Amino acid sequence: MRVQKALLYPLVRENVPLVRFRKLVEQEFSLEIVEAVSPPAYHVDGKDASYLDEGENTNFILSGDFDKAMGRCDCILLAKTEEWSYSEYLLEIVDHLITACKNHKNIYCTQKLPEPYHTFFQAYAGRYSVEFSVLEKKIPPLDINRLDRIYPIHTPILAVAGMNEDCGEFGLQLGLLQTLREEGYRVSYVGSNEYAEWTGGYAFPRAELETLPYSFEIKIKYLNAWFRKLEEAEAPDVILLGIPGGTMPIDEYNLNSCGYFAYLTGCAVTVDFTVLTIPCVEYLPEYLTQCQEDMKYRYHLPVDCLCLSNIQITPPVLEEAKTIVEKDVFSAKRVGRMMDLYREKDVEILEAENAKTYRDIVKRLYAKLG
Amino acid sequence: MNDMPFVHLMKSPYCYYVFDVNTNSIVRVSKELYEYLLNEQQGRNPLSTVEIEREKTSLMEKGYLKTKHPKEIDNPNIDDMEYLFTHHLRQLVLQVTQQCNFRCSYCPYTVGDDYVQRGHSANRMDWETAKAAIDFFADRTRDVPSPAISFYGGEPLLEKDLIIRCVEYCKKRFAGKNLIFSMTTNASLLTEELARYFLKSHFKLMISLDGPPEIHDRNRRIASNGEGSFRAVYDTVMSLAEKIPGFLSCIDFNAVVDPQNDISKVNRFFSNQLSQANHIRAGLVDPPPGTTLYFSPEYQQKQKTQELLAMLAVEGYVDPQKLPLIAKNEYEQIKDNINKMSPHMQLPDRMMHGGPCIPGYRKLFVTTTGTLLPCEKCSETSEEMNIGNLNDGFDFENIKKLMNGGNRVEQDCKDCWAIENCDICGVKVDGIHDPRELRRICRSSRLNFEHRLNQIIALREMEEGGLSE
Repeated sequence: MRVQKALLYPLVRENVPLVRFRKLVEQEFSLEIVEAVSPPAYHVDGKDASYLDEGENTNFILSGDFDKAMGRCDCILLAKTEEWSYSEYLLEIVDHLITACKNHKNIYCTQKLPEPYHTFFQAYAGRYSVEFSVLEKKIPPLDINRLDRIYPIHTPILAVAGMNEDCGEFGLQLGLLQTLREEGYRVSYVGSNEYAEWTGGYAFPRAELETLPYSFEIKIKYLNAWFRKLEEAEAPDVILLGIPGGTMPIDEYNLNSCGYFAYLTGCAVTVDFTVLTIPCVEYLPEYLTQCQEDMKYRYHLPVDCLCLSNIQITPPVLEEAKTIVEKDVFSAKRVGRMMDLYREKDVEILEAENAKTYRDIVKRLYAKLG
Repeated sequence: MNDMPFVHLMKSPYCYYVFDVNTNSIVRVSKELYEYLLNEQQGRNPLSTVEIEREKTSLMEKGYLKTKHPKEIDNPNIDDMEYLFTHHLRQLVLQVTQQCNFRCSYCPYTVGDDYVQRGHSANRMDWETAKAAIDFFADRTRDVPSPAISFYGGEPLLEKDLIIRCVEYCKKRFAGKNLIFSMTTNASLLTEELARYFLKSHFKLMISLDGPPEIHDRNRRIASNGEGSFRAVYDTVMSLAEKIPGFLSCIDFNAVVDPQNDISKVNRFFSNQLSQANHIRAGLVDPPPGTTLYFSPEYQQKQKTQELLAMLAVEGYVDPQKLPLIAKNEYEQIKDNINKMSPHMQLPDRMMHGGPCIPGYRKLFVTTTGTLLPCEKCSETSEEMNIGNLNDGFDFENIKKLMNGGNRVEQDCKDCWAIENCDICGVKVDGIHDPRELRRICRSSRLNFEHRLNQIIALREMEEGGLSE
């Protein structure tokens, strides 16, 4: 299969791990990410992609000019991001996609565009004989009437949860996925967001669980059956699971799903090894112990390893923006200082954005599973 | 001194309390323990009893009565300055003009006409400065999903063409972010076309309206003829509201409360004439530098009634939506104060009193000439408040000085029971270096905080049936 050169668009902090671990996308879909363009607000032209997430260097230089970058590619990988919700920026995206069609570039999306644009592009792309599709990987729908009980999952499960949502979990998941695969293991990956589908994984069935008009108990059985289907279909050596939503509310405006998906997961399957990412905050050791107790007794997810992300949640200042979570994204130097503070307090913690961490966690997983 | 529990003693007509500084909590204590601690603080050697010791032990086991004071008065946010000023600036305020078509008696510009701080002038921001300010800000907002751009004057609508040019530029420069626009205006120059444009661009307009004509016109006058400005503001806004559906939703009314006025009239006006407005804020007038406000007994009486109504609303006896304006503002203030009282285990070793902001981080005010200030309340002529300019960037040395304002009376801060809840920012102590004067300001801040604590205590006692007892 011919490898298509792809432009990832728009690139924002949340999907930088796709660039950092772009080999995973290439292995799965024969799409080689060679260009990425961010929204103009970020002014990233000529910078390494790591400028956006302050993670390890990606050796991938960003472009500020969509048209030029597109000219060097065969297709557009359209990533669903928060920015889609800003109507004026969505129009800019639509404009760029029209240009892409006219230049005979295929378009692959993580999610459907909001209507009427999706329907429009299905027809419009056909006019230029280009492919317009959603790259998704789904477990076929399950029969609710056959969900009689919980069954054991025999494959070891390695879970990554976050104290807050988007607290370094996605990058950590991809780092672990790549490390496990490099060591020759068959990994079934269930990611905490839909980008997982571009790396050969599945997205956690969040939408199904949110919209199923059934009781909590049925949802637990559904999730259990979903994992069994996955296990049957892929016969993996290990399931790498990213749990969406956080485990602690941020404030009265942003509840972080109140640990809903963590709780459902802990009820539906037995997790063998749990990594909890925490924001870049100097918590008291007692508080971290309390969080680990919560994870164990509230969610049935005993924590094996804490990882410090480079993200800190900050309270929004303006009344108009109360429901928008703001994040500080710190440099490795700043994270290093925080690591030192934890070392002084004898708190065992790893850096989330670090290749050594991925290897370390995999080693610990082997040790635990014997 | 530091061997004693770090607490502030308080009592209500019903009970005795300590404000426990280390945990930022109000704790009820027995009369005996209160008197024991009071004697101890006053340097006497009080006699303890078994009951007092038992109570003390029980409170200490719960984490209260710690003796810890901060060791160092130094703003820990300085550690994150490099990051914050590179990637996380939140709001840019452009002073597009220093001219205004009104002369409001408490506006710093009008005051400045007589004092040295600043005054109305023909200075206006040119496009090059505005663009440079927007670019300077935009380059430092990587991690802010909702950057805010505000237009300020003088009266900003005197520069409507510049504002529109800025807005159009910002829409492109910040594409991909949830950009928020706002403007503080007297509204007298608003046209239907402009109003529609602002509504379409999701502006928040902050319009000053103090109440009915006899109150508003007392302080807010038209520059050209000295007449009251009520009709120019109210009639313009209401006629636009009639023509443009949803227009009122983008307006925040700001009523400046002058204690010389009858607040019942202010309440009645906003309840009757502007009941459909979404957001109305009321705040006490800032006295001009060197002056103090006079609160008449009638004003104080009416203010107390508003405060009581607000407290009843907090306790659920009154619907907050039905409160008159002043009581509603008081209600929001009390709720905010309660939220601020978040408890913790102990004070850190290194801290700064609660007042100073991180200058320029939450708000970056750019004058017509490109000077950077922490906010619109700062004096434009003060060297202390100057945090840089568009050509040379931030003056981090001055920013650090402003963040470490507590260093002026360091030992006082270490021993101050209100350290965490202090509201003294750089603006309040601008140019003041005499320790006696600084201590006077500190006393005033402590009194404010004590008033807040008393409100919370009263609420607790209402909850617990203290009133019925």
